[in-house]
Amino acid sequence: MKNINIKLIGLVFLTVLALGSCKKWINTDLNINPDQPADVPMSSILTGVQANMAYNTIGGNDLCRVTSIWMQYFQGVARQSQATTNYTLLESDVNNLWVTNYTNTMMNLEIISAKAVSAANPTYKGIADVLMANTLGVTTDVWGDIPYSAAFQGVANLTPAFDSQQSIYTAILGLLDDAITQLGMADAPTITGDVMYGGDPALWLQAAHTLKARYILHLSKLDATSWANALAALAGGISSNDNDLQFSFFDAAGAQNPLYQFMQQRGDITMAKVFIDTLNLVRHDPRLPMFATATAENTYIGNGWGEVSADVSMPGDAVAAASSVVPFVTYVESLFIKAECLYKTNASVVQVRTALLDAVTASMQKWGADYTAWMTVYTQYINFSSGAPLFKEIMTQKWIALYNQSEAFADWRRTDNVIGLQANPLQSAQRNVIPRHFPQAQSEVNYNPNTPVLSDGLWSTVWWDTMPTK
Amino acid sequence: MRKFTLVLALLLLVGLQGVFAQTRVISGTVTSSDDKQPIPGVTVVVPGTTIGTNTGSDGKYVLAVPTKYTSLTFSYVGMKTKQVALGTATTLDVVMDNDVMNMDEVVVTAIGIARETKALSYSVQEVGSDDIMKSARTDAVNSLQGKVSDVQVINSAGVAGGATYVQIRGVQSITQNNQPLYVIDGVPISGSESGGVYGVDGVATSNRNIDINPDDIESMNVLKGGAATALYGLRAASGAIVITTKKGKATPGKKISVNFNTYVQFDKVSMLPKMQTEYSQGHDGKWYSGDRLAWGAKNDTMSLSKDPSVWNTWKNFDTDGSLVSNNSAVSKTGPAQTYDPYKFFQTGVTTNNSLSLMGGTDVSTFYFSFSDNQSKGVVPNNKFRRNTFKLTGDTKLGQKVKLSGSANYMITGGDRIQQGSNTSGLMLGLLRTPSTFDNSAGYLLPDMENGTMQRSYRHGRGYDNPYFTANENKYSDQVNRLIGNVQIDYFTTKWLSITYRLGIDWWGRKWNDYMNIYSSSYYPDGYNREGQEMSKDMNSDFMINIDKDFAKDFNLKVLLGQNMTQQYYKGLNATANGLVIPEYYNLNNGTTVSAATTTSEVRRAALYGDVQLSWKNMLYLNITGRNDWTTTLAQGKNSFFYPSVGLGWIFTELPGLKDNKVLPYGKLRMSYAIVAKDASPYNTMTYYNTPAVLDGWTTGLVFPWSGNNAFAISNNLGNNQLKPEKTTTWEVGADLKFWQNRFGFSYTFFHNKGQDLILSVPIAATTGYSTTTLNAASMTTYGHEVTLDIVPIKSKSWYWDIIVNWSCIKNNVDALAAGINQLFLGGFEGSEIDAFVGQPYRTIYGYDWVRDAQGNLRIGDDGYPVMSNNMTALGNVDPKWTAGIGTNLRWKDLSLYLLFDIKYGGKMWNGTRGAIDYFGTSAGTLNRDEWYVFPGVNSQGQTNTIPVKRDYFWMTQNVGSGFTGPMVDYVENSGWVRLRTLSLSYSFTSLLKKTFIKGLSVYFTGTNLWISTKYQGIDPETNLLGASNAQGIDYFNMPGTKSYTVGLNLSF
Repeated sequence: MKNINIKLIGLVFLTVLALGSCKKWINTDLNINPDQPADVPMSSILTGVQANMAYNTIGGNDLCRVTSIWMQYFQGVARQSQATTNYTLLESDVNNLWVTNYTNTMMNLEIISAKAVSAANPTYKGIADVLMANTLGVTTDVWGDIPYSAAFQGVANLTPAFDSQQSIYTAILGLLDDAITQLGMADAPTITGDVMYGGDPALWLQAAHTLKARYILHLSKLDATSWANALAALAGGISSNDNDLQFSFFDAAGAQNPLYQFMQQRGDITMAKVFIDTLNLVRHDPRLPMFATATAENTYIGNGWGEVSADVSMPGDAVAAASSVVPFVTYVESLFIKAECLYKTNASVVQVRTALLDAVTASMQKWGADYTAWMTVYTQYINFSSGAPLFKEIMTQKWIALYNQSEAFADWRRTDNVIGLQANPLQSAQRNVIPRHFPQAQSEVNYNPNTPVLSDGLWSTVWWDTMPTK
Repeated sequence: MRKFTLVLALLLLVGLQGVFAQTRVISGTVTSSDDKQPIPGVTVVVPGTTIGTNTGSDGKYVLAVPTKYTSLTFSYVGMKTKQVALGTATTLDVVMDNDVMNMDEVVVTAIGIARETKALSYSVQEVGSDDIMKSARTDAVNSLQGKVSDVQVINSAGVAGGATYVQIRGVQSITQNNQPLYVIDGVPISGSESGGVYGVDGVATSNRNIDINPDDIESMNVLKGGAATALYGLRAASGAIVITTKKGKATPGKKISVNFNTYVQFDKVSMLPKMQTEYSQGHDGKWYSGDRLAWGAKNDTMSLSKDPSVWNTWKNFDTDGSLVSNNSAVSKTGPAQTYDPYKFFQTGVTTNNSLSLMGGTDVSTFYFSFSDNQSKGVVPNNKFRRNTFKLTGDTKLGQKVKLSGSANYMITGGDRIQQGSNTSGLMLGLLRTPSTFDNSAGYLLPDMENGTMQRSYRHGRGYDNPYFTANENKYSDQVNRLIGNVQIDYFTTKWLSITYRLGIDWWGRKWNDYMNIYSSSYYPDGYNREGQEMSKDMNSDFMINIDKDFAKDFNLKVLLGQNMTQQYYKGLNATANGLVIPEYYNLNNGTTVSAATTTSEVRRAALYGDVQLSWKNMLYLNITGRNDWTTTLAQGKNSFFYPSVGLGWIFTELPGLKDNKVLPYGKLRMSYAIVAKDASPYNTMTYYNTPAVLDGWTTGLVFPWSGNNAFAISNNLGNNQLKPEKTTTWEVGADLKFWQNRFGFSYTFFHNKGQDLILSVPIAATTGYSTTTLNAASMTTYGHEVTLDIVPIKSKSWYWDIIVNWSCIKNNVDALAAGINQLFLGGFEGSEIDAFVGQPYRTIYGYDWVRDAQGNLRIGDDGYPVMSNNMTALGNVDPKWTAGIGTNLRWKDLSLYLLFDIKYGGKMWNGTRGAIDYFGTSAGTLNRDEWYVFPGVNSQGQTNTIPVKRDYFWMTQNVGSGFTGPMVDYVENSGWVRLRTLSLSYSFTSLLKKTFIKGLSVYFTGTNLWISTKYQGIDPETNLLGASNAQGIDYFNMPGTKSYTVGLNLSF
């Protein structure tokens, strides 16, 4: 009997031992992936966001290639690019851009912003605000109403509501005001991980001012005070070409400019006849060798409507070299904003002409064009210009200067095609109108029932835009 | 680990006390009631102890039995087990009865518990060592084909050392693994869960069940339903294959028994796509050197010419001359020639040798084996080799403790060939080559510009010459693996025993994958990739067994257990891209080198119990319960309990029916169970990773960025609300045995309802993420399984039996996730295998033609059908029903075994045919010059009458082929009737009775010797994606084989 008792005690002891070890054995901390960090410093997120914005959100092929085709810098000659030229752009064509803007760009900016607040770091907060305002701006300008206030909540809200573009603009300007406050603080430190401005809050402050002017100006169709307000906002803006907010690429594997990679790996586009002929035949513009390549016969030719020739000019080193920069917002743009605002606020014609010539000169300098002789002739020409033709010249020069930047598409809609682009004549009567809107993204349509249906597809207008009567 | 050692030591100490108890010696003779002859080799044991012995060749035994024990158990295969009470006498003679009904047949169920088949409330099916040996398959799992109902075994690769996909009773999970758990001697091993799943390109690798030496296997038992696997818990949610290996035996009068099995096997390619030899390389009816298509001139209008005016430029490619028109004025060397692409394949040879030694005494036994399997595939340079060593032993430490253990060391590996959708893929280059180009005339050329270039039909670009692929691109791997276990049994009292078992499965794998710089896929860079990975799988079970008769007629068996497992995986791989020095394959030879690690660790713990209460050997009530804890789910969600209950009723034990001659055995059974499966690791949190900055057009950016390392939040949102997915399952069935077991019938109906199934789903990007893991899906599966067992002839010299296994499964995806109607499982965009709500799992999804309401093709004004813009469901991959019909015919020592395997229905996408119709190499394009009226209706609804040609323009510039047009015409019935196994064997055993040789048999086995199928291509038992959930894709897969095996089995 005693023997059995000992055994029973032994048995109970063993069982308790086995059970006791269970707690430590089932340690759910083991379910943390050792190959992926659960937290990272703000600096490393910032580098990735800036690269993604340059490669996709601001300077990406899925944005700029489309707007540049519609703005007739480029002509699509194959695949989806050819369809874009024919004003076909599908929900699946814009899906990558939409997804990357929300996930790889804005979600990461939200994280930097939250981290900056808890770390009480005004520079990171200000930079995140500037970049978020810029991303919201380019996103809403092609998609109109977009989610923001209900977005970025993960599983807590799998179907975010769409905010009106009006409230998105309120948010953009709010973010920029906050950025100006944060970056203007005396103790705003120089930070790391910033591959655009080297972490200098003073430069980011300039960019914040210029962006604020840009987004105020976008509302000019709705609000006649926009020009005066934008002019005021320019104070403290980007002060020289050297201070442009832009991203530099390199001529190394995995570091090249997105348009360069597209031309290398896909092709599918050439220069368009409209842009080439404007610069080459009409204006003899010295920026042309930077903007486009010469053909084998050493001439500059763009494909006209319906033409798909490969022996024409291709995008040049200003935008499509391996190391071409992607500008986010520039001194040149601020000078054009100034010229337009002076004109619209009834400044003297001399002031307006000077502002325009300053802008064109800055653009020439930015691309290193040999412009002295040309500028002499051009100055004489401008000195005879005034009124509506002068305004048209400002916007035309801005169209040229903002080559392959999606901002040109905003200007074109905002000024109701003051520069006079003709729509693709090969399209049927209903379709030979230049589009003004991106289609909704495929995945958002599939997984978010709040996604609005666009009444007129690509010919819908965003809130600040209206469709001109034909 | 120290804890386990402690447990072992304690158990040992407690157990040794028994040695000094008082004993008495019992002896006697065991004879058969049939012929009154003594039976050698009967196992005689004291129940509940390790005390036991075997009868000698004269049927006699002697055994010392401690006085406190009062009975002995006598057991022998084919005899009814007998328990005899000990009186005062020291002599005990026993007469044993034949067991024609196999009433006392024992099978190994969950956790290595042996249970009588009759006591089970669910169906089990077993395949024995003889069947495994005769099927002569390198991967033993293949010998289940056709022998077990509702088990689908797909040898997916058709290459030496390829993976095998196994599915038991359909699928349970949507995006999680659906492969069964492999258990060897009670210890789960890392099996199909690891490896053997490949992408649409690359090479076919092995999954880890191939490491087991089939000759070491005593039996493979398939546990299908929830009630059978509930005790195994999470890992067996998709069923379990329980492998029992051979153990040593004490053979009277013999110290060591030796068994030697050897075979040599020859493999031939069995089915191949039909190709055309009437039209040359080129397009639009004209021959062009280097053209990608075979839409050229008619060969009989063309001649070969080596005239410098036409031949100089490409003479290194068109080695026999350029093609010129018969009417051409240039000098000619003869008529146009064609070259048989299938000359490329060789006869594969496999040699298999295995040697085992076993023996033992009353106290200890051992089993040792060594095996060597070497295969050369039908594709040159495709090789596979496996060596195994196994040592199993047990010893009794006194009367109450038994210690046993096993160590199995394996080395497997091979050289594998690029396949599938891969411009270096073997079949891709082979089948796209026009018949007028000779791939075999060399694959490397001197080139003025680059030094060397590849010789292929597209002038060194496009696709690799198959000879180049087989010789210059290489993937080789080697696995070193150790599976070991130790077990200690302590028999405390007659009715209570304690068992502790610890198993380890450790393997390491190294691999090297390179592409020559002249390979068209990576021209002009090539690459070299190397990796090492290790996996550790630890399993510990502590069990208390109770087996007690009480009251009258009642028996209670109780098992209580505690289980702990750990699965750890670590992989490190590196890639060197842009090789600088040709044919030097090292990581230091790249212009860019990158490396990455992969880790996975899961721990689980469980408490479980199994109660079997029986009454009068007639009613059996089985109840199990198990609670699992897992680390892959968040605290609070990671503990879950699931029960099973089953009832078996042997109604032929009823007084009126007992011992009747017509139906001596009949059982009705039913069971209900819930099984659960946890998530894969690392899904509960959101992580950061290196930003993926690219668009749909370009390769994008690489980080670190000018010295700045970068991270971005993952696009996959972690979900800490995940809970286990759950399948509720019930089954009912009957087992009937008629007329002395001459006719057996078994039927099972099962029903599985999966809920909260875990799946990875896309979500709106405005959430900040693009995918997450949810408990969202539900799926219903049910099916019927019928087994017939007929013995028409059974006499002294003749024996004939027929065994039929038939099963059908119906499956429906009830829901995926909110807003999601379809989920991509695998394949190509536009030619997909999807889970689709309201359809069976694995629906082929792709484009169709435009049709009218009646399903007629809508024919356009040009006479051609029109491709639809929308994708639709085009068929179900899984068969309507499957059957295996096996028959054994024996005459004296000669026996013949035939196994027919029938798969009725089931679709497969024949992407190969779709593509070669485009390239013009397929026999399907021979009608290119014929007028044809597409059956269909025009826009007015009238029958189409416009004759058109399915010519170069329609097939390549328009939507005529599967490459350019809808996939619907390339979704084919993949059903078959095949002679899976034909085996003829002769045993010399009775001739050699007086010699030292115990057994000698020779056998011939043919596998897949005959196939009847409507499938137009390679053997439809194939899958591009290997052992993955996305079955049903054939896109330049390697062809299957038929094999001829000659073997010899010798034991002495």
